[in-house]
Amino acid sequence: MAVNRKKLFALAVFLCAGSVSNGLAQVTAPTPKPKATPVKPKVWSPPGFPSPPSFPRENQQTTEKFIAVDPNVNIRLCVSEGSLKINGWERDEVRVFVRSGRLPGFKVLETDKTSGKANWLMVTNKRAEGERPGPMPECLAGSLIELDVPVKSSLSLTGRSTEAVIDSVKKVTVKTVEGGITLRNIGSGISAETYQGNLMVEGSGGAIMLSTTSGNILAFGVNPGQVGDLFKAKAGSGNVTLQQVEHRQIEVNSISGTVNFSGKFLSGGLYSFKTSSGPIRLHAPLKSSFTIKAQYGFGSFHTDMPLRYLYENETDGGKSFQATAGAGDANINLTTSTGSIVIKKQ
Amino acid sequence: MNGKCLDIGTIQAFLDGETKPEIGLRLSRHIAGCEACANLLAVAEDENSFVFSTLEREMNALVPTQRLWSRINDSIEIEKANVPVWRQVFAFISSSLASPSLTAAAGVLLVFGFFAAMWTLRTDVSTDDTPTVASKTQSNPETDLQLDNRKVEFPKSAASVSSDAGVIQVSESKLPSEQLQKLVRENNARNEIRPVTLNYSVPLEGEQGYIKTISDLKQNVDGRKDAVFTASSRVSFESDLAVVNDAIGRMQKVVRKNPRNQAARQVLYSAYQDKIDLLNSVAQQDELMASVR
Repeated sequence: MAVNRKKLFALAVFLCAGSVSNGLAQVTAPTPKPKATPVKPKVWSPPGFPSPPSFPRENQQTTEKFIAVDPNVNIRLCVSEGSLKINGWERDEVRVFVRSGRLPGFKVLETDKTSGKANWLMVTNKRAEGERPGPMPECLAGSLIELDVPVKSSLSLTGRSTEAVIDSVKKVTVKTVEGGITLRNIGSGISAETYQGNLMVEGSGGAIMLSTTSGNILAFGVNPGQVGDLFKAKAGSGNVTLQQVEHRQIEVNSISGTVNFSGKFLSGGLYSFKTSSGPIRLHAPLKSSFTIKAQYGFGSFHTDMPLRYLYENETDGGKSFQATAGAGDANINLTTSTGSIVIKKQ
Repeated sequence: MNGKCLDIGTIQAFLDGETKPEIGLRLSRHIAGCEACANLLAVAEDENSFVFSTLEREMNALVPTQRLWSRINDSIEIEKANVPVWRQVFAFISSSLASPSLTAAAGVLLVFGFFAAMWTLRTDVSTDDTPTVASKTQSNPETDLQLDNRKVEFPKSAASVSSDAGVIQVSESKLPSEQLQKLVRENNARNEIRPVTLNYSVPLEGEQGYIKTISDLKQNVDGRKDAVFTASSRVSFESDLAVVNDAIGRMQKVVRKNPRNQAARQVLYSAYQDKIDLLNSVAQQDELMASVR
């Protein structure tokens, strides 16, 4: 029994010594410094929505990729954030370049039966193996995204927060939540819509539809691709300025912004300019030929052009008139509630 | 007269004996001294003699004799005596009404008589001889009034009616309140007294579609504004909405005053369309954001 007692005592002493030495070792061990996490760029996200895919900076990379395509390829892409530049070129291939962003990839949705090349292509985010899909998993992101596409290609772009410049392609459809859109040399039609940002169209043709809620619209040197193509521009609080727009059918609407039109009124054209409180200003050559029909509620009217009035009503709230200049070839409809209407000679 | 000479009308009147004696004397003196007038008179006399000689037989037959005149007068007297009294009274009244002052007096008398009769009838209702109408309150206000076996239903606010004579009785209605209200509305519409000027306080036919669409959109959009907009864009949106609402309000007043004002109507519809576009833009933005999640 005495031997057993000694063994038990020795075991207890050993255990106590072990625990004390372990505790001392923990106290003295140096604490490792936490790794510095990179600061992610702040992108606004409305409440209730997940943050846009802020691409992992530790994996940020600059990438360039090519794919051979049909010249009339239809390209679809989505951009979550970043500056976007799309340029048309004479090659039958698509090049995508992303600086400091996600890894781009191509998804061929359809190929041409004769050439075997892609005629419907999606430029997408290519996830690395094992990477979990985040929000907006198919959208590109980066500090700069550049695409070179065939000049005959049609483009369909959706985006959240992007400044887009698109040049020299056949047809464009753009829809972004915020950010400006600049379109140049688009030959066969534009549909551009942004909710917070400016829209600018230059040297383009075809049916054109532009819409922004809180930005301005500027169209310069625009013509219809074929007879009957419509030019339509709609702004909320922004201004709409049209210069040398040669469509025969033009509809412009702004709620509180100014509508400016400067150019010729073409024979047989139908022009409609509407505002709620913003002014409507038209600048036309002295020898223009148009019939003007205006309803301007509580607004005002001023012109320095010679007009022949067919009727004129000056009752408060129901001010209206119809007048002609020249032979009255073009039809102009002006509507405003409280804004002013000014027609001046160029 | 044609200058100093007599005209043919005067000469004819002179020949027919229709001129007064002193004028006739003056004319005869003038004709005696005026060769032209004498010639004219001679021509007229010739014509007269020709006409009278031609129509002598007929004129003799047509001109009534003194005996005939006396017979006619006798007949009139007899007929007058035989006229009944009511016809004489009628003739008197009609002749009296020919005078404007008498007509006005009669009108005033009639109006006075009408109001007097109305006043008398109203005071008769409150006399004790008529059945008494007493009101009583009930827990269920929906009541029926049985009157001479005809059942008339009253709305909730109608007072209950009872009568000692047993003709008027009150009982609870078994009809649902919606049906009662519909019946009352129909009866009111039937008995409606239309105002002299039309009331345009309600929206016009063309407006109703816009108002309904706006109402539907507003319900959808109101809950999503915070999710869709940033602070700055929210301010911009609300500002635009206020501008459009102001335009709608102002134009509505004008259109209500004069619905035929086509220019004002067009501006109003345009403002409605702006509001619809504005509300739609919120829904579309929400949709876009959802699509790029």
